[in-house]
Amino acid sequence: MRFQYEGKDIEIDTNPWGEESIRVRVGTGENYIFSFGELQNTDKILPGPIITGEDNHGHTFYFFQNGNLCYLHYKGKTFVFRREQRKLSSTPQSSSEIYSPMPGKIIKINCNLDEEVKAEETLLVLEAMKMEHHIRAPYNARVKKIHCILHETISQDQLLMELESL
Amino acid sequence: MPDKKKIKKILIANRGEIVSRIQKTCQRLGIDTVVIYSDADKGMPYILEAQQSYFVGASESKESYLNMDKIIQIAQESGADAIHPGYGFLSENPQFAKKVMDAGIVFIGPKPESMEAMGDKIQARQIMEKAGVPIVPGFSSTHPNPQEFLQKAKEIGFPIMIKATAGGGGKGMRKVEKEEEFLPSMEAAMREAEKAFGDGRIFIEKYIQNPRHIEFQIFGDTYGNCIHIHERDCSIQRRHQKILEESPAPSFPTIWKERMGRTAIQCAKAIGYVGAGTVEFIYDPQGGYYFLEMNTRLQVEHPVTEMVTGLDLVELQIRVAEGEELPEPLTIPHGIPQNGHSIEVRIYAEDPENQFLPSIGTIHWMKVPKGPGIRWDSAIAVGMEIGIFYDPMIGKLIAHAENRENCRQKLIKALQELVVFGPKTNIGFLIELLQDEDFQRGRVSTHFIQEKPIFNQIHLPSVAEAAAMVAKISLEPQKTTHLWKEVGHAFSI
Repeated sequence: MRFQYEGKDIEIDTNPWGEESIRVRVGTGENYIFSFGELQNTDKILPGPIITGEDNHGHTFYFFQNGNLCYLHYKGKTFVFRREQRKLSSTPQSSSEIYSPMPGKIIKINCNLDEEVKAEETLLVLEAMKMEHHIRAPYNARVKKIHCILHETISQDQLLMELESL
Repeated sequence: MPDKKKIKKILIANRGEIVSRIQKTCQRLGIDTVVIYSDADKGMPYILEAQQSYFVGASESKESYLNMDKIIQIAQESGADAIHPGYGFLSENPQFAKKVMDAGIVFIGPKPESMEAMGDKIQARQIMEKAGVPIVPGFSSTHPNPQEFLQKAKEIGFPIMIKATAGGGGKGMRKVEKEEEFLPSMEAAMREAEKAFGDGRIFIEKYIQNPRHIEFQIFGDTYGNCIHIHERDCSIQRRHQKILEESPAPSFPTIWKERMGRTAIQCAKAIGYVGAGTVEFIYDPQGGYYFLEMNTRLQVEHPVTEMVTGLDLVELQIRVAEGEELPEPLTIPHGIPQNGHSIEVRIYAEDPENQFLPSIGTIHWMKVPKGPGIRWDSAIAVGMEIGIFYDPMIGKLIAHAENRENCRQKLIKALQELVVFGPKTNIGFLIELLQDEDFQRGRVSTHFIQEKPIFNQIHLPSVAEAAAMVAKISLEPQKTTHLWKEVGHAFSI
């Protein structure tokens, strides 16, 4: 998911990382990995728009979404984020990290680790809603890491590949 | 003997939290309340609580809460026998007080002459100086004779502050450490003042290292009694705006408290003061204190005094206005206890990460901490709008505990539990402030915040963690919320 820290010019990207964790990239620089475990007592049934619960350390959170604006109160502080829609066509482009633009299934991986790929070359093919979607290299690069396997079912915004530009 | 007459109905000529505050006391005393509201304030919770409510005018203050004739007309129409002006707006306007009294209505506040005397800050200083109250040593003259200024500076003692008479914003302001730097600095300050304000006049004042703002709550009645109800430390300010107040003042020697308390009463007596007022001092921890100004009304920060004494200051105001004498335990020396410690913080809709600019918008949801020793004074309810017309204060959070450290911790915890979804607030900033080591040790001064650039900065790791949490919550199946926006009442848990 992509967010903007409300009122500031700070772009934030979040992606699932392994089974449990979430990887966050702030701006163009720093990366963080967080693990909250299973969220406890999350109220999804009681009436009203506030979602409340606890993380695995017993920290309470309150969450409210109003349009694109997400309000979170967590560890004694309130944060406001604007959720941004990620456009399918612009998915990897400038980033060295290739994310899935939508949930689906990997039906083809066209490159190997350490292999050099040319700009616009198909890296992998994703099948979603009975349609094939080609994910292409944004520039000439070397494949640094592959985070998915063939036939794997993936969620939106999952990190699939890391590239190193040439 | 002054007339004694029970007040049965009070019109509260104000808006926001102070209306609810005054209303609470009235309800307890069995006094009916009449409230007024502007266009922007139609949803205020105190309107439903009041026996009578009147639309007073458009949202702009001059059309509504500053409209003297309209307010007095409403008071007469509603049958109110007294007007409580709250703080701000018309509370320190002698002309309004006069008009109210001329209409045969009790004005819950001091005599108009007292307001007049203290309203002009230069005149107030002169009155106090005559009464033998210390004021910050300084010198001003219409003829800028450098040698005369230098002579006076030497008498006052260095360091010296040079300030522009027309001044403001630090322009034409110079701190002079040594005698030999004085004349060049004075010339530079005059040039700067001339350029900035078209007026090169300057005055000099003693420079106070780490000054503290300490004020005394005073009370007078129509029988000539005048007392002080202890001090409040309001040193934590930003751009001369108080943001945190506490009582007792931390690390404040008893000897100075005794002296300043006596002076405060002397100030009030000098103008025959009746009702609730506050005498503000600059306290120099090197030794010494100076009269700053006197506020002739109830202060925003009055709750800390109520928390440590157990008194209801609004009730006292009403009783004095009814012609009652201040009751005995209050008038005997050391008759008023100062139990434990209390701290108040002002919650503002403003963005500390963006130069504290006011942040307007709807309060989507709010969760207020509760518990023993926690008080929340506010008139903001969920669904209300923080608008552009008035002060963007959401409320005041007040804590009380047996000592300062416990009080500080209790207030931090309460602030962490205070949730406001809507406009940006200064809650995070206040938590950082309370957690500051110097604050914890009671090393406060009016320069405190400007000397701490560490505040107000974005802490990226917590932002990243919060974003991860939002992503985590969003990954889970969500309940449908959009219908709530269509049909929901104000909601809370």
